[in-house]
Amino acid sequence: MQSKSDISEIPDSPEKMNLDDSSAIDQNQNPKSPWYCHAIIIGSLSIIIGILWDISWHRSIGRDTFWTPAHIAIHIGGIIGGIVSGYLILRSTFVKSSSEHLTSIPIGPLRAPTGAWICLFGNMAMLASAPFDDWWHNAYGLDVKILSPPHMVLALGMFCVVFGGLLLLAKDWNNSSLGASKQIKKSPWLMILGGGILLAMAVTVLIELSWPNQYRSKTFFIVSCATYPFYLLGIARATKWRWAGTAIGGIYMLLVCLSVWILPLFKAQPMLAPINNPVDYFVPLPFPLLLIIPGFVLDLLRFPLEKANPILSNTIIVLLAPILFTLTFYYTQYHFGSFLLSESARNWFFATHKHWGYQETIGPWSFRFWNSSVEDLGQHQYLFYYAFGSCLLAIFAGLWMGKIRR
Amino acid sequence: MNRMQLNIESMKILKTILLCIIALLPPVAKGHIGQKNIIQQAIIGIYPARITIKKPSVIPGVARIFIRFEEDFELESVSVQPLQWSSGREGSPPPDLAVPVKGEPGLYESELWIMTGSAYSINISAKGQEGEGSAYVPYSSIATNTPTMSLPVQILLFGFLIFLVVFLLAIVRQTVAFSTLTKDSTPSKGRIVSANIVTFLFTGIIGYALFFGKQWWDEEEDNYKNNRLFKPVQTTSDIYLVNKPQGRLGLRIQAPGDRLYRNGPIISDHGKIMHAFIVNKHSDSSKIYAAHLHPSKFNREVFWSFFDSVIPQGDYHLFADISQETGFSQTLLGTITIGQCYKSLDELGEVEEAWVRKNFESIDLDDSFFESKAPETSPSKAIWRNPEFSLEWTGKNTSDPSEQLTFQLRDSAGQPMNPELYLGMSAHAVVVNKDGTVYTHLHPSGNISMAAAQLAELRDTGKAPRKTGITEPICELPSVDESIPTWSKLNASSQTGEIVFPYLPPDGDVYRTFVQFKIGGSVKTAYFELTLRE
Repeated sequence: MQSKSDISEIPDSPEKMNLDDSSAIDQNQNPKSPWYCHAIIIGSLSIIIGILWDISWHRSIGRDTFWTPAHIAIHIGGIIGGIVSGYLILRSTFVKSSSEHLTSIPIGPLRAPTGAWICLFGNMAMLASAPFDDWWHNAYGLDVKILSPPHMVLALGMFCVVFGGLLLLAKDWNNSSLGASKQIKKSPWLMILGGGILLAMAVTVLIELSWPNQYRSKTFFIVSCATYPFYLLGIARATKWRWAGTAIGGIYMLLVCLSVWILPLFKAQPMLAPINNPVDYFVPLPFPLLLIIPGFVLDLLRFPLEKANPILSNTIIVLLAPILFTLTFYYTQYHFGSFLLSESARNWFFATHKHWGYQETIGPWSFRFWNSSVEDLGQHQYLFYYAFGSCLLAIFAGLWMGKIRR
Repeated sequence: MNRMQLNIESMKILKTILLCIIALLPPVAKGHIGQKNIIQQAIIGIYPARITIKKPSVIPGVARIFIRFEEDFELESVSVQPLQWSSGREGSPPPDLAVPVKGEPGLYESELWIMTGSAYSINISAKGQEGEGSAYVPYSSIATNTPTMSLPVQILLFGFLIFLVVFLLAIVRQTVAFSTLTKDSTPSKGRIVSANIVTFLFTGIIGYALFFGKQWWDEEEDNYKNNRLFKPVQTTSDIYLVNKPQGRLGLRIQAPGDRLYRNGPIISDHGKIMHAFIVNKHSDSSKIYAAHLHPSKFNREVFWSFFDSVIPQGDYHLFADISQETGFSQTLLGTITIGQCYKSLDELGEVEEAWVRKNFESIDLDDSFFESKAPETSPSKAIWRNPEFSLEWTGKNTSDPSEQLTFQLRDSAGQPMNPELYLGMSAHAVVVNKDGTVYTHLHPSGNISMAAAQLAELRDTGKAPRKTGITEPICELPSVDESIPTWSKLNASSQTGEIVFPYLPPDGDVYRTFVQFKIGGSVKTAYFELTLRE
């Protein structure tokens, strides 16, 4: 039983984190996370780069094969996840003196840490999506959109690879903190980077519902409120760092911003007719959502509650976080949408004139809201319930990730 | 103890999940209808060639194009470029180089990426020592695939699904039981109960996710079948007695206007806005009846053709070929049942009845009728004999790499003879399989619409707008007489009296084949039942 809440341990900088605990079990005092945690986060980075690149490829060039650089980047990420999980399963199962063996969970005759199992599951899902996607192309035609059942299987697989990596990091952290009699300065940045990557993956999956022109649509707010608090609150709490929500939102924005700024620097030639928009550069996704702002607000909410009773603090968070998230997210995106659709945003930084693919005929429709069904938040209170569900899940996930030992 | 209990309860949960998953798997669909290939005789600049396009059955999809030059020209490059009718060359990617096929001199191939269901033309360019030039192949892009899942794919995907679900539940269960335990601990009884409860809840979540996924899949399939899968336009067709004393009949074809004009107004293809073919449904009876008619337009939905030939009682297939101003061409379908009496004009509205009474005298002299007994044929050789001529199928079936049907026409003395032009072509052929699910109207130039090919060239050279009218065309095409010099070059015949139709049957089957040509100013028909391989 834990005497302190995770909230009570929130430091205000990664360097001041005191992970000491009297109930010492593990003597792992290595301030560095194991190599495989680094490997899997590098693999995750490769996946998100591959995803952003692949979408750009489809919207700039059109034709693709299995062997495009973007696909290779995605598969390298998957393969790294597979190698790491395979290594951990072998080591945990057969090297009985290893720390991995002692901190693993059994499934059948094999053992591995939870993160490795989830990572392996992600690999299997990615593998399964390939014949499914191939059949889908033969049955209904080649891809012209992101949201399709086989793509969701692939997305689930990629999510699990990254999430498995986060669980391996969380396990390493929690075991290290238990065993240290002195401060162990394990950096939370790997986990924050992983959280930012996961958030970027989630936003990308929902991108067809999250175009700047949809920043006032009901569907956009529903999917956003139901999804993003999980990352900004849940994974942020698991890092046990005070500004983790801000950082996760920031990492997501940085990743997408880099794609917005870098991709158009490279030449591309559409290779499919009809070409309605003759682009000559790699088309980026739209400028990211301003998730750093709700992330910051949720961090501010967590901070004053750090000394409170865990039950009380969690209750307050789960009640207030949905309201704060929905309010900040709604007002931020509502007004930011107007800006992005204005001429002021048609520059290299926001690049709203560059995120249209070769198939899209640019016209007045490109710079106006397509649906303004959410003009007054007061008439859409159900959005709070979606955010509440996401926050509740985030609380449980954060608590669990803060306790995971295997 | 714990592990044993865990396994038994896990098995129960898994059994329930398996049953749910089996119920969720999609049913296997069957059936395929549609013309798979385009084949065209063309002259690319000065280089005669035969172009074959194997169309994908889905859109977006990738077609394969083969260009077989008739001689071994020294070519520097052969390129292909799909032009979507409204966006033209400006809206097209750069041409792709076609690559020579190893071991097949003069044969080039390439891929064509077809992204939208609409009218395209494929611009083929050849450059060699003797000059360079191009040709256009009209391409009507349609999705014809009825989604099916083969047994091996079902087994593979089902296996993956079972594995993933079982694996995920195992992870969930063991994670709840073990993940927060320190290294020396074992799960308590309470924790195992919790693990089972969470696994049970997760089973429900996974079940819901699969149910949602199946619903989504069904919606995607419905969307594909309702909006993207091409369905031939079904007409309402009947034979009317339009003038009792004279015994004149009228074929009335009515097609739904919203579907008919989706690809633009109808344009005239080698002189006619519609080429209708009526053939009796295949039965054990050896009687064959067919009519090749060219209906005129009464209004945007209704077309009439008048004739004096008596059509016997029975059930008939109707196939009506039209070309449209986007460059799209399609075959309208219908069935006609003729009982003891023909339909009466009284059943029509006043305006239409008045129009019929005014126009029934105008008979199209290019219409033709055929009635005969089925011949005895062998798969390799067939001759249709007539007092005036004989037509022999010289057995060029699709095992021949030249992919063509070749016939030899001889006069009554057995000497090779050339037919006269019939609607600007040296001959026409109609190929129908026995159940009427395959129908192709062929010319020596191939199975393409000549008007669509002309329109593609006019649009690409800026001589016709990339627009269409609403019910009447706005583009002006060359007349038949103006076109004959070009079309006559496309006759693939190399010797006197030889009639060659480039053709690739979609399936191996027995095909009822009607060959029509003109001798002495009248249209003659020869009939064959040919066994062709795919």
